[in-house]
Amino acid sequence: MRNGRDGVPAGLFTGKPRGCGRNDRHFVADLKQAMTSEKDPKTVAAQLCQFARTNFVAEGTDFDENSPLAQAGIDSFALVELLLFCERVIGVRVPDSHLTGNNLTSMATLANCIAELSRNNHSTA
Amino acid sequence: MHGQDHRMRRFGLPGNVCCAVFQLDRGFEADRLRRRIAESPIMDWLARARFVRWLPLLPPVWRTSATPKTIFFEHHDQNGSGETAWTLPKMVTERELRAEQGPGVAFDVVRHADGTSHLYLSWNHTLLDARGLDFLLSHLNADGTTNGAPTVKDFISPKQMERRGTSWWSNASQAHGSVKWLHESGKEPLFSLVPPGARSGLRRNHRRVLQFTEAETARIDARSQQLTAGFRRSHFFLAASIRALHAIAVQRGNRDGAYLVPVPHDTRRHGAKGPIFSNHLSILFYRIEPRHAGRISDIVGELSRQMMDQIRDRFPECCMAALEMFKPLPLGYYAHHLGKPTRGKIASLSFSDSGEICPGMTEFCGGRILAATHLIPCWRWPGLTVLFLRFGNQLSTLLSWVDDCLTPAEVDRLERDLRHALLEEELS
Repeated sequence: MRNGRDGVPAGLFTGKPRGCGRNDRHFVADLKQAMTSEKDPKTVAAQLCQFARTNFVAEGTDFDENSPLAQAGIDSFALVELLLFCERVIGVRVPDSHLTGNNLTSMATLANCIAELSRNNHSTA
Repeated sequence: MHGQDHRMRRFGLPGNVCCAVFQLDRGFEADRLRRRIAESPIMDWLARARFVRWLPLLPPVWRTSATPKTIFFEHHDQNGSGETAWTLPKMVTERELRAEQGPGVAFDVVRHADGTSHLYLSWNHTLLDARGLDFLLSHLNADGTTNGAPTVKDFISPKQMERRGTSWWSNASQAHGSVKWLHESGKEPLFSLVPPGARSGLRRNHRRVLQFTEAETARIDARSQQLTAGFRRSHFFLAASIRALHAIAVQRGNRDGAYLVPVPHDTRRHGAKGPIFSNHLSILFYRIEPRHAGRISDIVGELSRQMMDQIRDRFPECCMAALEMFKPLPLGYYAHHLGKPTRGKIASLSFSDSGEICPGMTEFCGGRILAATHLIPCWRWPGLTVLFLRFGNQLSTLLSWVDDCLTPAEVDRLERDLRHALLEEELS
């Protein structure tokens, strides 16, 4: 599936009025699938990194999926933004009990946690 | 920020002027700092800048005067020593730094007989925030060989330049989103330290710095890590402050009054070198009911929930749009609207976590930095400000209060309870 801004399926937030046509039904099915299907940790980590680069990390700063989150400017405010991104776009709600030091070491560990949660049906869809 | 400056001066307080204090070892070259200030286009602009409002309903703008004013002062203290003392000398406290007249910044260097020095960098909050000051200091500290220091292009962001054209009506529609949150968090009953009734005479500001040792700081960090996975350190600090305030409130007989705390958040990106100029803060409002204020873990849980809800509802952006919208209004009307949701109480406590002062900077103009802190003023309302900051491996807390809002015994108790909450209280 082609992704638009922030990893959102293309066309979701374009503001274009939607009817109930065949394309729309396909679109909704794609979206449901994206939000409920099992997540690939690598894809999720890439999405999270992209979101962080767009929103928290300055241009030219070294940052990848293995960078320690605490050193990458992910403070409490950014963490909440990141969790809301997981809910809205990736479709997985991360409960407080999973916000542990181990899960929040890097984007890769967070992505593993999200993949695990999606397998255990923590989807927001 | 400019409005707060005016209000504070009306109460006899020193205005919204902060002071960063650095204790510098032998080797500090005052002449090098003087030269850097004279050469820097940023310092030239700051020395000329003044805040102008042409007409009451036009937004205020920055203009520069033709001649820069003196902003560097050197003093010699023949009898003094370089011991850490966070009391401001008289020449610093008496310096007028008004944004509308300029200059808004001043450097006072005090050379002690033992070769050490104190640098007092005072600045009007209208011009800079704490992180902007860090950038300014690393700009001044840089020489030809320094890589990655902020330069003139980091002074102001292109976005700030664009903001000039923002219309009142577009702000109004976004600002509407903040109304629900502001009214819900500000509804009565609220606890306030400010005595009811008319203010008697002009008030004074007092400050106390609580210094934690490296071992104590490590212990506080470990407790914060245990409670908040290291990402909500500010929540732990705020929870400890609210817990300490709650003890005073209970002693004063408060039963139902909730604690309302607006908390600023720096919006600059990680790794950015600017912008230096102006304030880049958004605000979250936390309301803690007394039934939750007795335990650190309960307060942290409430703070996390409220933070999530506010960011989910895009409250910080809406709140900033509301403040932007009120800027062109006359100051009295602005102040009236600012205090309206809380019926004038504004907040129970003013809180800020400035993080690390000058991260990575160990020396300034040739002198090793021995100790550093920020001394910030307190507003009336709310009458008490708590600021957390760290330099190197040491955490410190500044308590700043207005004399009629807390008694000396209450300040002693606040300090004791705050230390206990940070270092000893059971977390769960």
